[in-house]
Amino acid sequence: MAERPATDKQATIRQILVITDGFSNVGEDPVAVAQEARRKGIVVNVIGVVDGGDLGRQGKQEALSIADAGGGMCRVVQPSDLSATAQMMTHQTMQMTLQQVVGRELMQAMGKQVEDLPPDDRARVAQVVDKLEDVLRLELVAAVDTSASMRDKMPMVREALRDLSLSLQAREGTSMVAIVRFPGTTDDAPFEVVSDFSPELDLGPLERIFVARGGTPTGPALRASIELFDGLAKRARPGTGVAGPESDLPDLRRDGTAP
Amino acid sequence: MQPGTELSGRWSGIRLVVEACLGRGANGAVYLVRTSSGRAALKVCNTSADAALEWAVLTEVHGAGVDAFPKPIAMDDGPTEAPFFYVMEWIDGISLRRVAERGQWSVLQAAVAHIVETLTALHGVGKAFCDVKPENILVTAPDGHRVRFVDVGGVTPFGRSVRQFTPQTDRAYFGLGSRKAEPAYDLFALVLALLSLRAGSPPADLVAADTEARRRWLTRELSRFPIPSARTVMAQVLDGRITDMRAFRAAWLCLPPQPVHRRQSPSRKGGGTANAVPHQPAGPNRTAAAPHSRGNASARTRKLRSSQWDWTEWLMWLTVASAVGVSVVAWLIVLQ
Repeated sequence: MAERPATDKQATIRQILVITDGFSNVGEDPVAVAQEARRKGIVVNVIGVVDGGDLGRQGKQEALSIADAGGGMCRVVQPSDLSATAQMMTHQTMQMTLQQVVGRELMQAMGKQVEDLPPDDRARVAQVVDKLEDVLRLELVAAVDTSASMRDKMPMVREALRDLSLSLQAREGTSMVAIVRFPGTTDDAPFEVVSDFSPELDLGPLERIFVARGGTPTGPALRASIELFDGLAKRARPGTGVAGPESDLPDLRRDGTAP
Repeated sequence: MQPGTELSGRWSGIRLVVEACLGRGANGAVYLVRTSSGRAALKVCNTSADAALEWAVLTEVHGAGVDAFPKPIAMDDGPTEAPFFYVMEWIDGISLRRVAERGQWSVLQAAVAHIVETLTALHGVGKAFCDVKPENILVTAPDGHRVRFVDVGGVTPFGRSVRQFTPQTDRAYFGLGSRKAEPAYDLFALVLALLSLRAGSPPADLVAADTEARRRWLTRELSRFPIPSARTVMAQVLDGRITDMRAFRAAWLCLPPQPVHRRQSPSRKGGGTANAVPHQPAGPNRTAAAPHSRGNASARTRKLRSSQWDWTEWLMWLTVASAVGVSVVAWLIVLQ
């Protein structure tokens, strides 16, 4: 699928998918960064991946808080469910975003919620949302925890991301995927951009991604993800001083619900 | 919802009594319910959008003249136990999984040709099923000569990405194609579904394996498929030599009939004839499938139907005979 530049006219859905097995212990507060992402129209989803055991109360609490602040979903799953969960979340949060937009339009035009519509009209709205979901441009950053405890889960993570990218490639609309790992490979790097936005997930770097070592800088990784979106927007419109997703998509998610 | 729960719809006023839970899925539960006009299936969804979308697809497909899926009856909102729901025809049949569990491979072999026909009808209106799996296919005639589909949630217009899929019937999972809705996606899924009848879900360690390892597993399972003659045709689909439904159907119909299996499930006490349904080529003469003596309920219904037919036939001949008799008498009177 050829990459088309994002223009102001083309609505884009932006998501960050965090895959982690613990709680952050390095750098800034991930909840605050997630909140910032949400203000910029980026939804943050979190998958807590546990192997037999438990994410721990602290880890679970943080995963929930990040997703909550980022306007997304949170699920704690076994590694084998990672792939299905990643797809389900991406799909459902895309729908959520679109439903919010459609809902707001409807409220403005008719003073009604979708649930107030008679069943037949509601069915038509659902079809429109379904079509939009497939044709709109999607930008997704997968932020993958590569700290030591994730080592055994890495093959599953790799396959889950490969599988997710297969689904995204099948969409009618353009899908751009980037991968950020945290921590980075060198000691002082809290994160590393494994692959920048690309219409097709480059699986090469994905093989090298999994060199696990200590520390879980979730906050800095989220920050890096936001910057990737900014960078992509800037590349799409060189010359215009204004960059950043917020100027790109005035419609999506900049509703009263955003803090 | 417990059996006996009563609910009514906010918009249409439809009244339902829950009889049983038929199943639960990722986006809702299906119940058998009683309505004023008989039994029906009730799908309760978690969100209004899920219910609305499935309803839209169901009515659209049905409106286009494809009767593979349950006939839509009503969509409505209910009380908190069933906030968003729709009601559809209840299909009384045996899932393909059960057919295989009973060891009725001859029935299965016959059913496959009909699954292909039913899929082709759906493809005719520009949509793919995208969720072909043994649980979603109901065999509604005891000999396998009629099938229906349930769960419309996956149906997707050609060209879009597949909305919901099961890894074991997803060609992309095995690295054998894209996840785009098209006829070939369903054909692959059908073959993968047949393999899964014996193999079940892929083993857990396959989740972390690469597509190469997944394909090796598939090849191994193919060599164990219980209808030996079908393996070649299935392999041709998997390696891309058969890509369209028509070619697959033709190849499948050329398969020799499945020999009678002596293996019986304990609940079935019928003689060796129980599975002795010869493979009939699907075609104009398929209704000619001789009514064999079979031990299950649907077979009894069929027998009942055939005795009814005999009775009406007898009545018809009687009527004709008496009409002839009356005319003869009338002519005799006129001629005198």
